[in-house]
Amino acid sequence: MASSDSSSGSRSQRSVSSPRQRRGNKSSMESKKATVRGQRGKPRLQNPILINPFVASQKHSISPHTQERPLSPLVPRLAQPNRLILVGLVLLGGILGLGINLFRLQIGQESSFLKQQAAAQQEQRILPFVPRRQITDKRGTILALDRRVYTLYAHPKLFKQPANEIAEKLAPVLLREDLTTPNANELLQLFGTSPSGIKVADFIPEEVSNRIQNLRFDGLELLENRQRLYPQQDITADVVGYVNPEGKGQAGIEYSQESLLERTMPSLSFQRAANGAWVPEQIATGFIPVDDLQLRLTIDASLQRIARKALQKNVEEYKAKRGTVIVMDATDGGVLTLVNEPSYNPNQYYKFDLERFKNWALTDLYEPGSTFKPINVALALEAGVIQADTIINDEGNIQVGGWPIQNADGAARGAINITDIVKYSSNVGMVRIIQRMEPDVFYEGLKRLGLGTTMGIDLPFAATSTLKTKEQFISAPIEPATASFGQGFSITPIQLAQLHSLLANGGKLVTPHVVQGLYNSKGQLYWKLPLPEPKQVFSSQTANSVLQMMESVVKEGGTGTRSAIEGYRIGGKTGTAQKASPDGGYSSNALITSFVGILSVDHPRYVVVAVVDEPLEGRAGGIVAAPIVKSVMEGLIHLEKIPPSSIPSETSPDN
Amino acid sequence: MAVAFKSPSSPQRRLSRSVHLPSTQSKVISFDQARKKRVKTSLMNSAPRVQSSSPPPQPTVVKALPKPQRQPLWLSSMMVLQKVSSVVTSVMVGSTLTFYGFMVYGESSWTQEYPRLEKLRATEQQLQAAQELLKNQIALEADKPTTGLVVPQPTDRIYIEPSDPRPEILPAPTSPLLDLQPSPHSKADKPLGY
Repeated sequence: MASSDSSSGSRSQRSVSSPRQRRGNKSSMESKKATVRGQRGKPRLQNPILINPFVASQKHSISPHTQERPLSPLVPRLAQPNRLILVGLVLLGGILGLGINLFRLQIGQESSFLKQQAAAQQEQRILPFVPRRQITDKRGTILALDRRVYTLYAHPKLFKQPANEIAEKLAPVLLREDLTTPNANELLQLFGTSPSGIKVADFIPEEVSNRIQNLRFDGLELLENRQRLYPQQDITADVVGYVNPEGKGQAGIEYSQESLLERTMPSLSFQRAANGAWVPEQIATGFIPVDDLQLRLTIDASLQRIARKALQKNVEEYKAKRGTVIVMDATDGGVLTLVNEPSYNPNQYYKFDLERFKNWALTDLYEPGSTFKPINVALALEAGVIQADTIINDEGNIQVGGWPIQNADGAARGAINITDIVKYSSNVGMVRIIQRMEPDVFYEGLKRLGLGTTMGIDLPFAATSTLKTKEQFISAPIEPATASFGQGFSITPIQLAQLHSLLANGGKLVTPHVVQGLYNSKGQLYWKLPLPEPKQVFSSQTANSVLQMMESVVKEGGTGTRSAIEGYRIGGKTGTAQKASPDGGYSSNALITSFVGILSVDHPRYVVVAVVDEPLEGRAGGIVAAPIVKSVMEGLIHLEKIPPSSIPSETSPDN
Repeated sequence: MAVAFKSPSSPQRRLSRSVHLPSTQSKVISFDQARKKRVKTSLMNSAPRVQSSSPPPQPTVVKALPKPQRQPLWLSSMMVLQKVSSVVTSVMVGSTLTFYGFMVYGESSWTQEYPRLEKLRATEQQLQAAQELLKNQIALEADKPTTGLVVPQPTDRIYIEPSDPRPEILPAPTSPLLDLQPSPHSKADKPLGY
């Protein structure tokens, strides 16, 4: 309708501005007025000539009465109807066209497009930065946290300043991931490579990105990303693991506890208010539910540091392939320290060999050797076939089922007691003890310890220990004989720690774990890792008497004297086992040395296991692994403030 | 509801004055007419139906006001309803405006505060990261032999053996605090108020 109005308006305007009309006298003006009135008052067709100003101006003589009487000019009557119909059609066409367009925009297919466009202008959905939960150690030291980082893109075609100016100002501000700053020429060259979408730098920290933003250059784009930062570098890498660029855990706790670490949050929906500000649609449910929970581990980062240093030193010194140290709290199975060497820096995991990402303390099986002897003694004591003071004859060299078995040093010690068998790590003595037991009783005992089953640790990829089938084990007498000194079956280093915890906690089989639970920022417990009830395997008397025997190992004359700490009663056991070679049998020179220490004999609580694989020098658990255990225990004493068993003489009051 | 109704005659009177119609409305009236009128008005008092056909009253005559009518129940209840509903409406309008105002205010202040919250969170996380990185750096520095720092050894520690627990001191047998049969002396010692 609007268009028809305006077209008629323009027509009347034309009539006003017509030059002839202006020249005309008053009567013509009057006639024009009359024309307009006539046009309104009467149907057009009755008085068509008056509509046309040219006609009206030509006839100067037309009086004001003209409108009253019907006209009958012949010539215009022929031309007018066509013109009117044409104008009418044009108007109708316009109305129709507008109508159709209106329908198309408001009701037709285009309407949804318009809605979308309006929504795009007025609404915005953003996904707030929801960091993955932090991982802390038992003292609250942060082992892993999320931080915002930015990727800088340059679009030279959008530059408002000359590229060289931008390059010069950007170069000193920009800090690359490897902590270098590019020079201006380098940047300028980079800007020349493409008109848009040039990646300039990755993982720009927030402070640097703020500085880049403050330069206020057009054509530079900072895209927000998140990065998992491991401030302690390689110290806890073996436990914590790492995440890939997509934010998915790939190893350690990051992988196995993904569900505890991942946080999700609904995206926020905003609408643009009248003043252009963004206003959320729902305030109440929008941004509040970001909890402040952290995943706390049983790991002690300080002890971890001490253990890594000690392990690193000995692995280097004895030219070993690799090593591991585990410290376990025997009361509940919490792992205080788990260190592998060599390790990796999780901040730059991509620079390391894949082999290092597996935690071999959990994934690799080995034959524990002599470190298993105290467990076998406990089994025999529990079965009642020996007493703590039973005397056994150690011949030094025997044949079992046609296989020769001898002591490591080849010495025959004759009649010795159980304590001495443990102290000197006598293989023959152990075979004699186990021979007193029925093979199936021994086998069932080993089964009860969890051999051949999975352990249930909360770290990923833990291997299942291997034990031969009962038939195999019972049929050949050599099987129980080799098992008596820890060969013929395989366990992982962490399982060795678990089994020695039995002796430290009075015979309970605890589940090793590294997760304590979820704590909020005030240090209050929110969720605790559910642990199965520990199974009582030995009586506490048995565990205690074996512990007393283990103390002799560390004392003068034993195999583990290098782990002795003045003032503290420490139980220990060395282990030097032959490694099974990949093509069957045992490798001739590959050894795996280990040492298990229990702190302390009078108040047993901590089990420290050190395993060093294939040392080229030293070649004995008492030499290679025992000093590591000593250093770790010293650190443990310091950190846990463990009082000495007896006050050393020089510090005791003399008077 | 004291509503004074003008008698229907008065506008007529005013009208007649302005138009200057001839008439019966002149101040000079016959005695007869006046008497008739007086009788009429007294009749009107008893029955308040005013007959439109009756001649307009004379201004000199003191007219008694019609007795206020008792309003019917439906009317009075409707009026009460109107009053109550107008109060309710105004309260509702007021509360709606207040609520809307707070909502708009809340939204606008949210818009201002949210970036601040985000900034604080970012700062917190930056500080945490910096602190932990420093911790690690200090530990690494401390390990260097040039610093002269050593790992604490158990022998470096000083242990003080806890002394035996003190023998429990039995409280000396004292006289019972509450004297159930107070002597006159004790009465004098104690303030009366307690």
